[in-house]
Amino acid sequence: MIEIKGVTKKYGDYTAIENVNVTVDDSSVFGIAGFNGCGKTTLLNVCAGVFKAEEGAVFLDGADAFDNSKERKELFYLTDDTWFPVKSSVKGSAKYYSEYFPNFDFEVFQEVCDLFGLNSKSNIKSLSKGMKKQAGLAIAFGASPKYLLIDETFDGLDPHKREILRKLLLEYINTTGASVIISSHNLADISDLCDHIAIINGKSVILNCAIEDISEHYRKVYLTFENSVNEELFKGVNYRKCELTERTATLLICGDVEKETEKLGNLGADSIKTELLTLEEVFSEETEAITDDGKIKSVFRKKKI
Amino acid sequence: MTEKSNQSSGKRKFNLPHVFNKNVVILLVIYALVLIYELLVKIFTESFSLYNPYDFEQEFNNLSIITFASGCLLSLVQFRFLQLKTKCTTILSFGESRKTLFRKNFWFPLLSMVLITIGFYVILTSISWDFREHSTDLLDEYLANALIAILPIFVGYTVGAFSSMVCGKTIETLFFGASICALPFSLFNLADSMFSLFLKGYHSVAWEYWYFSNYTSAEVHDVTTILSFFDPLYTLNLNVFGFDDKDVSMEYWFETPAFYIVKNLIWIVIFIGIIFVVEKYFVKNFQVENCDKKGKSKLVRIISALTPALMIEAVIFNYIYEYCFADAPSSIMVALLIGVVIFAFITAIIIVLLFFKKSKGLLFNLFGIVVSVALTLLVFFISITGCFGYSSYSPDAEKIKSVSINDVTYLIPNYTIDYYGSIDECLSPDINFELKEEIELIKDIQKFIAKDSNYDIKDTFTITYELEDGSVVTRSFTYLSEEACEKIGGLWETETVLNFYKTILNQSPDINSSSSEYAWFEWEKDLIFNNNFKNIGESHYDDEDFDYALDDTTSYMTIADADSLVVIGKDTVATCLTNEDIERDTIEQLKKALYEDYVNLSASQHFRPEKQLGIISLASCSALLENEMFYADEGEEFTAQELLDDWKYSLFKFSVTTDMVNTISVLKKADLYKYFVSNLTVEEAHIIDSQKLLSWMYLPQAFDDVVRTKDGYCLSAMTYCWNYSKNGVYLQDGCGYTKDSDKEYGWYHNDWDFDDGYDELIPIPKADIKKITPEEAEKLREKAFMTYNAGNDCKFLVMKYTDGTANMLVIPD
Repeated sequence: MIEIKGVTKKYGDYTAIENVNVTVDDSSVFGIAGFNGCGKTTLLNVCAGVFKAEEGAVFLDGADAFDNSKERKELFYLTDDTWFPVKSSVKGSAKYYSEYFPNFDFEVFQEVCDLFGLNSKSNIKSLSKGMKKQAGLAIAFGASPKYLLIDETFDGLDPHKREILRKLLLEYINTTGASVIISSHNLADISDLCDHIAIINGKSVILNCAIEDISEHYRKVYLTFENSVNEELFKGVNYRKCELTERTATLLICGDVEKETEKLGNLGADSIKTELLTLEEVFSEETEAITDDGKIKSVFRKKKI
Repeated sequence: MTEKSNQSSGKRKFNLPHVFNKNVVILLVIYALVLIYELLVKIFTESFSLYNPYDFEQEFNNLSIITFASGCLLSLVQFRFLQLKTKCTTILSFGESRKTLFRKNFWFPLLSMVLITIGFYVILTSISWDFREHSTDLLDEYLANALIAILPIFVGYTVGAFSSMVCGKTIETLFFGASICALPFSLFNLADSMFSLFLKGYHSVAWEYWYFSNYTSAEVHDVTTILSFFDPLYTLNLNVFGFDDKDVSMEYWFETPAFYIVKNLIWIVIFIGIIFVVEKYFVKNFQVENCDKKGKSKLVRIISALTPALMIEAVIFNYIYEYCFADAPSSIMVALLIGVVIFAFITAIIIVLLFFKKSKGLLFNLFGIVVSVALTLLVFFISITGCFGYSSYSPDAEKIKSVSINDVTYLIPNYTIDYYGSIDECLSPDINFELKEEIELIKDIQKFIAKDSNYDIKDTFTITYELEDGSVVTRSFTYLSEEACEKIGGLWETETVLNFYKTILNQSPDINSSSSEYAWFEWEKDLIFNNNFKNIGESHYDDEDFDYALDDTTSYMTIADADSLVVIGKDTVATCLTNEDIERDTIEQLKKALYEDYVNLSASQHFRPEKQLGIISLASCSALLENEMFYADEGEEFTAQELLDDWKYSLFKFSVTTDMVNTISVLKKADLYKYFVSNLTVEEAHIIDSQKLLSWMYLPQAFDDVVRTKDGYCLSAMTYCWNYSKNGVYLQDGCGYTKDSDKEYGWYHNDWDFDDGYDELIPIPKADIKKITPEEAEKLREKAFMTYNAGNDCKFLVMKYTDGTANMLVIPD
């Protein structure tokens, strides 16, 4: 189990993450999502003991992860920009890593390479970004860690390899009971794979729940009234966002969805319709990452080629 | 999932090759290259009979620098991962604690390097041992050199590792590392510059020893030497091999292997302590986040700004110092090396400014600059307070066994350094004063110099007190005032000095020895031994200017065995009288008379011989003129007249004044007095009003060099004069009359080039030059004298004679 308790990490005066609290159970995959620069990698670096948190700590089965060589023997951190020994082959790199991981299994490593269609004798220098990612993953699985951290997990992988990786991860946690933390921009992949998810918005975690709980937390409610409506009508309802037309209202409610829906039902609407949110929609809502189409259109308006 | 491979050990293993191989390979390559070079030197020197143990030892001088540089380089390689964020992140994610990681990367490679380096030094010591006439125990040398080898590795590796740890980028690491290394030097240099001015210590000597001197000179008794102990890098430039001189006294304890062993051991312990402090406070808190970032650490910025600031301040100070005191660099090599170091540093600063704009903060750190200014002011304050009485301190008279002063430039009777300054080179004994009143006199002189604020003359005056308990207290002064010189000159009248001359004039070498040269040195040795003189000039061997002359003609330059006489009148025409022209008896009488007269001569008469008739020189050179050509040891050819010239300049010269009744009596009796009377007619004359002269080294000199036989046959003639004034203007001209290889005797004109850029400069642009009539010149010549003492305002009388020769005399105020 990985416990992230009240972690705050600063770069000089800049606070990257603040008071993050997350628990990753055994045999589970935990997903971290967030926009670019929101602090996902920082959080993983703190979890891996690479960065020292200004406040809080990360515990691996109850032991502080920072400068704790005993517990971190069981941890493998696959960074986005994985480092390989200079001029080495994939297998050579695996040998280098195996010196630090006593449970390194070369058969697993080789099998993962085969699954990815990666020649383990290839020189790392000659590999593409995606292939390097595959090499890193093969080494990571070969290391047989109890705690596996993967930054930008699916970055650079084609859909086929993503699927392989997804299955490998699931198989790995099922078999070993490992705790896995992955970060990714690809919410679809995360939603398929993770048991839990945390969304980081800037400094702090704004959503931390099981995937299946997301639908219970967010609901979009469409209301149609006989007469025109205004926002005053929804005063007693806990909603995140409200869009009004002449006689209709669309509300995004979160939290105790059932209770709020019941409140809305009592407002005398002609019709009431509820809709579940996708993970992308939740992400957009939570991170307020709304695309302004008008602005995009205006970027090239003066550009005539 | 699957069975574990056999390659998996089940335990975390420490991979030796990954940590070790890079260093071993790099170090072995460096040392192998050095070893090959040294062996080639050995083979070549043996093959071509160029064997010179001193030269070979010089080859070792830079070994410590190589070791130090290797330590720096290897630490940069070993800790390179700290500059690569991805690698650092990966390595740190492996789970090893920072402390463990540091220890693995630091101690193991360092210890392995130390072992390799010791092995390397052992091999080189063996080679060196084979080369030299060794008086030390080989095991002693192994031990000393091994210890000397360890410190540079320690320093280099620690500095490199620490720099890597606190800096984000390689360029910053290098710059910061250089700044740390140069920091003690910068402080040392600044202190040295100021101490040398206010304590009148060894400015140029300190520079020299900092760099590439072999540290064998006796002139190192200075506060800078004490300071050097506090700088671990000071050992790097020292000649670590060849501890042949086992009988060094305590005075030279810092030249002994024991000194370096103790010093290095202390510094090694200090550095181990530093490493533990670094481990505790820096390693533990090392943040990989700072990788790839530009010098964020406050420490980095302060030190990076502090060192260049101190260096620049020292350079500016030195420039002012050189400018104000007309000091010359101690040697071209030293000047060059200083220039290279400063140039390299300034270049590094420019590179940082131009190409690493974000690193500008490293250099322009306000706090660092403020600290440097504060340090400068502190050193300045300590200096102007006389360093708490360092310069004026002298031991209690009761505890002093004897006192010696460095040379007798001031004490040799009427010998004038305007004649090439040769006699003090030739025979400059360190006289031991043992009488209580003389010791008190010297103590008073020291106190006077220490308090004296005038710096008229640049010359080295060293007082060495030998105490009853065997210890030694030494104080050196580089700048002296006019008054101080006169006080020192007063020592000439002491009983000890007079006894010294008495001995010189009356003792004879064993001329029946196997070689005359040997006889001369044997005599010298006896003279020193029998009279409790500390030393008689080493320049027979050391001074390049006199190598050929002294090696080959020393035997002709003895006073004790003199069979010849040169009489030089005030028109500077020298007449050479050999054994065919003068009786040996006359010479013996002359020696006796000279001594009797000198006993009664006052210091004033000695320094300002206004009643001067001329100068006489004694030598044993009759055989010299019989031979056409001489061959010196190194294959250079010299004609008789060339040797005669050297002989003339290198002999004991005695100024003869009208007060010296005994000498004049002998000269008249032997019909030698006539050579003082000039037959030359003045054709043209000028008076040059000199300004106060500041440099003893560049005394105004004027002399003619006309050597004739008794029959008036001119062997050679030269005349030139030169002057170094307060404004740094040289007056210089020369013309000669000598025998060309193909032609008869003829005149030539010289543009003397004694030093850089001093071409012919007549007249002095800023000097007051007045033309006078020949008649006036003749009158002035009566009171003029041939000698000159630095520091006095005076006028020169320059005369050109009808026969084309010229000379310059000093006119008293």
